[in-house]
Amino acid sequence: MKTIQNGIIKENPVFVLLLGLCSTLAITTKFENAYLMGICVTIVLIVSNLIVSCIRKWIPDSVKTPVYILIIATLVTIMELLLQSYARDVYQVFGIYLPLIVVNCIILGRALAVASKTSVCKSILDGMGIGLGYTIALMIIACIREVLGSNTITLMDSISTITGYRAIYHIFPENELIPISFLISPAGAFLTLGLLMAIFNAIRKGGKHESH
Amino acid sequence: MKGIKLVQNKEMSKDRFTIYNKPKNIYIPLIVGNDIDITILVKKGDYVCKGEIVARRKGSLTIPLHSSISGTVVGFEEQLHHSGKYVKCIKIENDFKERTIEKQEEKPISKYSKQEFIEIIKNAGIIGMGGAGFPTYIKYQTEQNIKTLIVNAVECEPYITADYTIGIQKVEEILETIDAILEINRIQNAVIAIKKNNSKLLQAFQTKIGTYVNIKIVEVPNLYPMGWEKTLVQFITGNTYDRLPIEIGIVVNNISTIYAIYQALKKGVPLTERIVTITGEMLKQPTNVLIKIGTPIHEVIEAIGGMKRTKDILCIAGGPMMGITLPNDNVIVTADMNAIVILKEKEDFLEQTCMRCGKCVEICPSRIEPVLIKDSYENKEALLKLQVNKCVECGLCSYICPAKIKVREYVKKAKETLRKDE
Amino acid sequence: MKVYHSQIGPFQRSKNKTSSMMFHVVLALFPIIAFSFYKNGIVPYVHHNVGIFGLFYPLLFIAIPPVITFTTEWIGAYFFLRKKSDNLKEYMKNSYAILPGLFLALILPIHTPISILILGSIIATVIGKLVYGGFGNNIFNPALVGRLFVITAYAGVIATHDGYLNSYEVDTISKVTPLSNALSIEGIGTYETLVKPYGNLWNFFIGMIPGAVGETSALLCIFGFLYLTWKRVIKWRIPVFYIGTVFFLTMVIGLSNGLSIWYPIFQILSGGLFFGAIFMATDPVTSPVTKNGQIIYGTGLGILTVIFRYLTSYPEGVLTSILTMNMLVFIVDRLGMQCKKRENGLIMIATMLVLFGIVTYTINTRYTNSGETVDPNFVLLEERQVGNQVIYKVSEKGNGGPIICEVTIKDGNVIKLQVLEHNETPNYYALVEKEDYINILMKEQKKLPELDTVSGATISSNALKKLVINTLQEYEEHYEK
Repeated sequence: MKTIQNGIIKENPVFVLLLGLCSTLAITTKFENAYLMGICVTIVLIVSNLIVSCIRKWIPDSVKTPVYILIIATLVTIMELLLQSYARDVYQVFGIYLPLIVVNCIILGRALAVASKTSVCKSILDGMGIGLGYTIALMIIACIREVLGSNTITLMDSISTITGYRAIYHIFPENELIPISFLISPAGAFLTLGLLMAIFNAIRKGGKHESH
Repeated sequence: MKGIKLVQNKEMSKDRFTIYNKPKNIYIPLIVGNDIDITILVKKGDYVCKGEIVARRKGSLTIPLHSSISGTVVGFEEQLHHSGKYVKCIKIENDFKERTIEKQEEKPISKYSKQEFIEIIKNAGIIGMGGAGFPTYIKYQTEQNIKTLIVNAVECEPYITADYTIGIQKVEEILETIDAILEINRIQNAVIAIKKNNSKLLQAFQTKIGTYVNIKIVEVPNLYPMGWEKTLVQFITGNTYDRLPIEIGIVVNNISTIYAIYQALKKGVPLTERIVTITGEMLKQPTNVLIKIGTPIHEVIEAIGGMKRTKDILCIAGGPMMGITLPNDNVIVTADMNAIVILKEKEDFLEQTCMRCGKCVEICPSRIEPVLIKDSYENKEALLKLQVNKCVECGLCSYICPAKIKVREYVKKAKETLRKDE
Repeated sequence: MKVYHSQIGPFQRSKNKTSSMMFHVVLALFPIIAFSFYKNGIVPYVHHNVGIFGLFYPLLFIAIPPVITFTTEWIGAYFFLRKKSDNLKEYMKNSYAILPGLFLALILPIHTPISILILGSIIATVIGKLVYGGFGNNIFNPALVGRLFVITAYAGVIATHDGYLNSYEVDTISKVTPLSNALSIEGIGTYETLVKPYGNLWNFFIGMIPGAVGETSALLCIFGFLYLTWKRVIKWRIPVFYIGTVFFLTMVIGLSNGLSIWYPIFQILSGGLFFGAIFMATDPVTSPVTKNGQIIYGTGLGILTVIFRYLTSYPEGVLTSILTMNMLVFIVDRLGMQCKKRENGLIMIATMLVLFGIVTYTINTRYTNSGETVDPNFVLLEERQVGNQVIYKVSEKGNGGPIICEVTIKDGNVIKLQVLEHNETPNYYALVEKEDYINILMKEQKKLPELDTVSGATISSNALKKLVINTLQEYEEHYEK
């Protein structure tokens, strides 16, 4: 339990460890994309941690990185093929960012830092925690960007082929302030991410200063 | 010229002069400048004459310390020095007989050779009386050709009129000494630097200077810190130097030091007394007083009338810009202490956030950046590029700051940081 | 034993105070606010473009942001910066929170909706000041941060409300702001196209031109500059070098395009340059502290503004150049310190001059380069005018040597093309003649670059084609400019 909490707060990959920011900034234009990406990354993370942790004793140090990348690439390719066949819309929305999960620093980073050194159980829990932290972070950012940036919130659109529902809601009535269109652009992404990071870390540290 | 016209406050003590030469005991502080490495040459019970050497500074910059009265060495005590520290002193009880070692006879002062000159002023214990406390003979002990002697009668700090008093009283003696120094050391010419608005002193010198062709008077603007060596040399000659003015062939001496040289050359009398300005709004009668070295100041203050009140006052050794507050008025007079200022205690200003207006950078006479030093006063690496040691602690940065930040203190702390890990 | 208190010197302090310096800045803004009231309130009211509410609307517009910034900073200082009671009062007195608000109001378009104005003020204080630790610690000028946010996020909304022009200007001038106008003109423009639509240069100087609420009047800004320099409040080197650099660079650009002294004057009087240089760039917290640093800062600002005005699609570059240089203040201060030594100072001046040269050269090539470079194989042999026709004798390098032709142009069209001599291989040239390429060239003379060459005699026909193109270009450059 503590491990999971660790992954969400103390070592949150987006706000604290600052890993995987590339896909964070690009995917969070819609709320739905955010949680879908989060789920994908979490699944890949858990499975890769599981596999790496299982075989950690038999991999010599010198070939660690290529072997792990091989594992992660295989998993991502499997996920890609699955999405391509069962959820075509999702696959198209993700575009290039789905293969980019391979080099998402979170997965490789956790494999090298945690999964190659701890037991199977702990690795899985760590994967769950980190993945959950990633998903929550992405959902928060996407929520703000979409609600303020295009005045809608998309709960289910691309995966409607699976679930059969479509859920896109308008939040605010027509007015001049919202939508702030530039939040959808990359500049807005950086701004939102930066401010959220500041708020998150301020709350986390509770006003304690870190001395250098 | 970089500088500020400060409110002078000199009227209260100008042209007021008295003598206090009957201290019960004197305390000779065993310190020269900042150096307390002194050899003591007397022991308890010894009888000393006025002008006798009682201690000597160790090292290559050696200089002797003299007794300013005749009497018995009673012991050793710690007394307050004008730097704020307590210093070990030789306590001598006065027998009021003013006995001297040898009879003092007058000698013609320009007939000495350069070596004799240096020996005389060294043995007379003459140090810079403008506040620096640097042994004067070292300035002349150089192989380089000295082109100009600048006599510093500027006295740019507010309240202080000690140099003015000695200047007004001893014009002829000072001119004679300057002429002698020029001849002995083969210096080409001399310049006396006096403030433009100091009309009485200017007139006093201008009337008597006629016969001396090598001595000129230069009027300097009424700015602080015009009396600082570097600013003065730059104003008069237009050139600047790196560390010492001898690099460009110039020697600067305070005008009180010149009179002390006169006493030593003419009568063989060592440096045993000086004029101190005791002034300030909280004194009943601010005046300049001729005091023997080693006298505790509180006696003198009582003798001239005392203070208006003794609570909620600040007792400052030196001027209001560069002086420091003292915990009591039991401080001992030394050759490099030129004033005691007693002010009303006012509430200190609260420090605000620095607004980076750049006024301290604009005003600094050493041309360094106090605000940048303040930003990184604990960071040794960053300080190395900021030339912290050029600061003379003149206080203009703290003076001018609109946010009332004590910038000079940060620079002092920065100097500490640089000294620490050496 | 008497014990006296100790205090840290010096015991004489100047009368400078942070709050009084800020007050002088507000005082210097009063004439500008009054003029803005006149230009945006009284003039439209007198000309019956707005009602009584519109008369006082500019005052309301200028009054709202200071109130919002003050409140936001008060709340922010209490919660974020944890300042309590006495500390808080001292802080607010010195931070003069109404100042960014006033600036923000004066640099936004008059038709910004009030809700956006309020949001912009809040953003300016929070992101521009509080996030960095409050007054004295911010890197960017808070008013500019607010303006950047408003313009980036709501440009479309403001444009639908008529943007920068107030109701009177929309009726009488019915164009856009002077620099947007300059951007839409092809080439570098002339006095007729750039200045005339707004009156003459006096209008620019006094400020009766379209622009943001308060940044148009250069005259009142100069008064403010003189007042603040007299009171020793602002860093005067920055505006002097900023405006001087822009003037110098635009003068060089203007001169090399044949425009006289009115052009640089036009450039420095438009786009709110004076207001930005005198009030925004000299914000004490965000500008360099060293003397040489300020000179470098002003010059850098000038270079950036000129680059942004000419080489990007933003009409005016003051906002972005100030924000960019704000980022670099730390480096600029270091450079300023190094420049105390004479050699380093000279190196810096040389670098600046080289930068000036590069910038003016780049901008000039954009204006005078009208397309192709001169063909080295083309030689103009003779040119004579007969009535309203021009007869050229030209030569173009073909396959076997130069082909010499006589080309007659009337009113911009080639009416006769005759080959005088050539050294082409007879077989290949025969193909050219068989295709009647000469007539095709004359017929298709408007679409020459895309015209096909004769297959089998490519080089010869290409040479003829290029010959006609180059001759037409010669004609255009001499007779149609």
